[in-house]
Amino acid sequence: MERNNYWTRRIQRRRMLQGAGVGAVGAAALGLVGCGDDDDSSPTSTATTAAATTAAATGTGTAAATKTGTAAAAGKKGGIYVSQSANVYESVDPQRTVASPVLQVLARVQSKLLRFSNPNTGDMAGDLAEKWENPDASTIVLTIRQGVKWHGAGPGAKNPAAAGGRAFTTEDVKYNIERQKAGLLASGEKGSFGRNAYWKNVDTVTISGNTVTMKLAKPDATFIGGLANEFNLMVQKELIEAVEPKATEISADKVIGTGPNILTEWVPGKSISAVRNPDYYNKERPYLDGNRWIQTFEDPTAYRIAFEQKQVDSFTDPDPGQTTKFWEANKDKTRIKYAGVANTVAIYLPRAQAPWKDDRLIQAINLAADRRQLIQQLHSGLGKVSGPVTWLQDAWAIPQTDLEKVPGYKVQRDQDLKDAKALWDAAGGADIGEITWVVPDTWASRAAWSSTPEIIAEMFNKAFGTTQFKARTKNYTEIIPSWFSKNFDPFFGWIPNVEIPDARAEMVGAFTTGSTSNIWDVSEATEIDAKLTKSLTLTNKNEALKLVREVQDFVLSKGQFGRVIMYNYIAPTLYWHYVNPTGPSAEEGWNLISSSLDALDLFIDTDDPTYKGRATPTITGL
Amino acid sequence: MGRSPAPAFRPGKLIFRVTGQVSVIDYIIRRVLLNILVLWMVATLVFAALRVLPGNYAVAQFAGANLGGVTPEAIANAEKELGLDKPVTTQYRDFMWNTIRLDLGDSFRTKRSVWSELRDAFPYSAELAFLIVLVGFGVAVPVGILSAVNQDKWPDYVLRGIAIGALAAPVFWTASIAVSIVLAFDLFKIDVIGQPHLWDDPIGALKWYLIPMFAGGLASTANTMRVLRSQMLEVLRDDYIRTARAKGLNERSVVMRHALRNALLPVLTVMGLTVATIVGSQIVLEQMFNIPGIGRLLFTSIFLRDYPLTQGLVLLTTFVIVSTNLAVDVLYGYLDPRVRLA
Repeated sequence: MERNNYWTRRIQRRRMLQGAGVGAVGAAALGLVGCGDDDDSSPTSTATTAAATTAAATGTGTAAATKTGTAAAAGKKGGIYVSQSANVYESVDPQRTVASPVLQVLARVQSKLLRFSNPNTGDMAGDLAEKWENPDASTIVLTIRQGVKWHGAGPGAKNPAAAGGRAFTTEDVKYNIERQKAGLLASGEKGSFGRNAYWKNVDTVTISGNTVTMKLAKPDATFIGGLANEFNLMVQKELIEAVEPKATEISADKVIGTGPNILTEWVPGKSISAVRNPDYYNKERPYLDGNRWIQTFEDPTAYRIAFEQKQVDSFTDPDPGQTTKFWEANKDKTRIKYAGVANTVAIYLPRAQAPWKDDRLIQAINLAADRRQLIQQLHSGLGKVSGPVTWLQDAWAIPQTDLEKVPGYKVQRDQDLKDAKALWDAAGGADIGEITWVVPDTWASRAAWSSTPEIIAEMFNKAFGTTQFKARTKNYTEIIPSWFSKNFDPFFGWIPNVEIPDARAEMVGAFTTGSTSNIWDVSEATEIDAKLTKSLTLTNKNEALKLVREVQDFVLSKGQFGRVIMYNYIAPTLYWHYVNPTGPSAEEGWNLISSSLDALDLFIDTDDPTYKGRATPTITGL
Repeated sequence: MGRSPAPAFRPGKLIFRVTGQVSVIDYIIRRVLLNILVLWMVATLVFAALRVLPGNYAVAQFAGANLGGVTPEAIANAEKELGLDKPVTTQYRDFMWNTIRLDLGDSFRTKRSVWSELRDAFPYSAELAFLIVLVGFGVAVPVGILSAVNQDKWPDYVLRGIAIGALAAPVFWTASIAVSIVLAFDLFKIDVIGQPHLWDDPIGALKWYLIPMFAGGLASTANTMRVLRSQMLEVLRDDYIRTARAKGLNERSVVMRHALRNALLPVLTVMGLTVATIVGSQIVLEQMFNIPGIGRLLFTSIFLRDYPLTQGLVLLTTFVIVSTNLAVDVLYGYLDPRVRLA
């Protein structure tokens, strides 16, 4: 299996690169990487994509229609999985968080209406809704699962404000929709509801028996996928309204859910525990008896000690090269899982202000940006180039083989660099004066990436034969507001995350005329607005995909209008062999957040020889 | 055995009226007032330094998160909730007023009082510091003596060579080498998760602290050993030592009872100064071994721009350092009344 695995092949080629010189040999080797991408459409990948396309075309689905990852086939019950926790959890309210660490915990104890059974392709499965229909792009009919109860035990259920053990009803669904749509707290004050814009599109919610029907104000065929977004967890009205004023003070007694686990302890930076929910509606899940998250390892030495001595079950070194090196030395005892990182890396150019109003300059930057060099230098070769739709969104992205033929993405860069220089000179780039790239300080503060500002400046100075490019770091406090006011400096770093596999809503936000997120003042009525707006009305994914692809090709021909998507890197995680993580295979991982799947399908094989010597973890019980 | 020929100074009542015009009480009062000034300056500096650093907790909590939801509005709301929307002068005034009342505020991250955080973290740091000092002193004294009594012989060269090596080696390097050896040969379990206290599980705690205490201890050993050696060499040439030998005392008594006792006084000063070094090395060692002490807390709080916690930790650390130095000075005067304190 390992030999045929995409991720493994990539690493072997990278190692070959390391052994060879840089320059001509490097270019040849990169060519090999490109060839490797030919194999992206492996049988597994093709099968899942096709399945997703078919399911979406019908616009309906049931919980039985899809299966979860491979872990489902051979899972074993029992065991406690120990992993590292995040350092900061900013709220107990999943609907008012913007940070994914909160989901690491809450997705294990709370449920959504639907979930992605394959986050890479967008294949969906039922959760609190056992059946869903999308007869047209403005209507969603959900059949709510019967017999589901809010947790009846644990600190949350014991909270006097909570209604522990109460049945989950269609009224709960309606409450959750209307709360986020209104964006108001029980006190009447405005709250920071992260998905308020998404829910605002719901015009009416009607209940009939155990079905909930949503009518949308504007057609949006992507809305159904949004229900499976990891951020759309269902909260209980009684408890959440009681804890709203102190939602940022984290503790387990402020959380109740209907999910596979019950939260028993939540002390940020110290310890978090969750145990199996005995009343979970799916009696086959979860496999684990419990989860324990221990405090964050600030230093890789402590993390390595904990992993090697089996005090934690997984390990990720800040330097991905170290993680893979460790795995290569311990292949018989460990597993490695690669996952695409949803923090897309991009260049933003302020197209709304001079001199960047000249599209030739923007095209020049897009052509001169050496994506593969950065992947090699900053991510040990672990990453893939992304077009306007990231490769993480497997079903909607331009395939890597096609992307490599697009200027700016070619493996052989001579022509791209020549064209970039010609465009830069023609637009009077040399006369602009000093151009300062801004790199987020959170990016540059990582040891392995600390030289990024210099690398970026040098990359463009070299490409254009100039010395006018400089670089500095800035904080997102300054960067984000400057994006919205459209007077930002040229930027390199992470941009807003990809959250769901369906790329349409994201494309609409970035490129349609008048959209708040369209900070590049793109206004293309025929080539973009009309096509993307139409794509939103299509429940047939193949038809929508055709339109989205056309828009992507057009955007690429324009140097991406200053929203120059570069790449998404890949994070390797190491597990002891007794841990069976979720994913399409043991080696591959989900590209998008998949905490709700991990909660169900990850299991520990206590019969595995590597389990020997692992101490039984202590955990806070019910 | 004869009476100790050590002249003039002996600990005692003289402490309260030393040779100069200023009493120890006066001296302590002046030093305490000076320390308060130092604490105020440090508090002001750390307050200013934190605000000069780019970013704040409102942004840091979203770092690495979904920037799609991190709108200017979300940041503004978070800043308002944390009180970061107030003018800096107001923040400073509130901070100083609260500090005077010993109210260090609540941690931005955990929403617990800074005192609660300190109460949890301090015992770990105190345990490690105690063990580091124990190793430092326990190794430095015999090695320093051995080196001095064997001056310019091979044991002296070897021990001085080791001391210089230990002084040059950063603690993280020494600790990393030790960790690699322990893991490679599976020597013992370093419980980086259980985090036992010495009084709860002495064996488990010692295994956990073993590497950091020796890595930190060796660094302070080198300095102490070198000072002790030079003091011993000086004292061993004094007249009263010659007298002791002339009276027929055996060499062991001369060295241990008469020379060492006097040579240790400057070492005490060095040990006082070493506290600051130990605090510095503890930040590194607590990170490396997941020790939830003051050093680790300080690192995390600075990284996350948790202003109240950082301010509280820096103030506490400063207090410990200036108090230790004051205590050492007073103790020095107690042990050697010839010392003019003022």
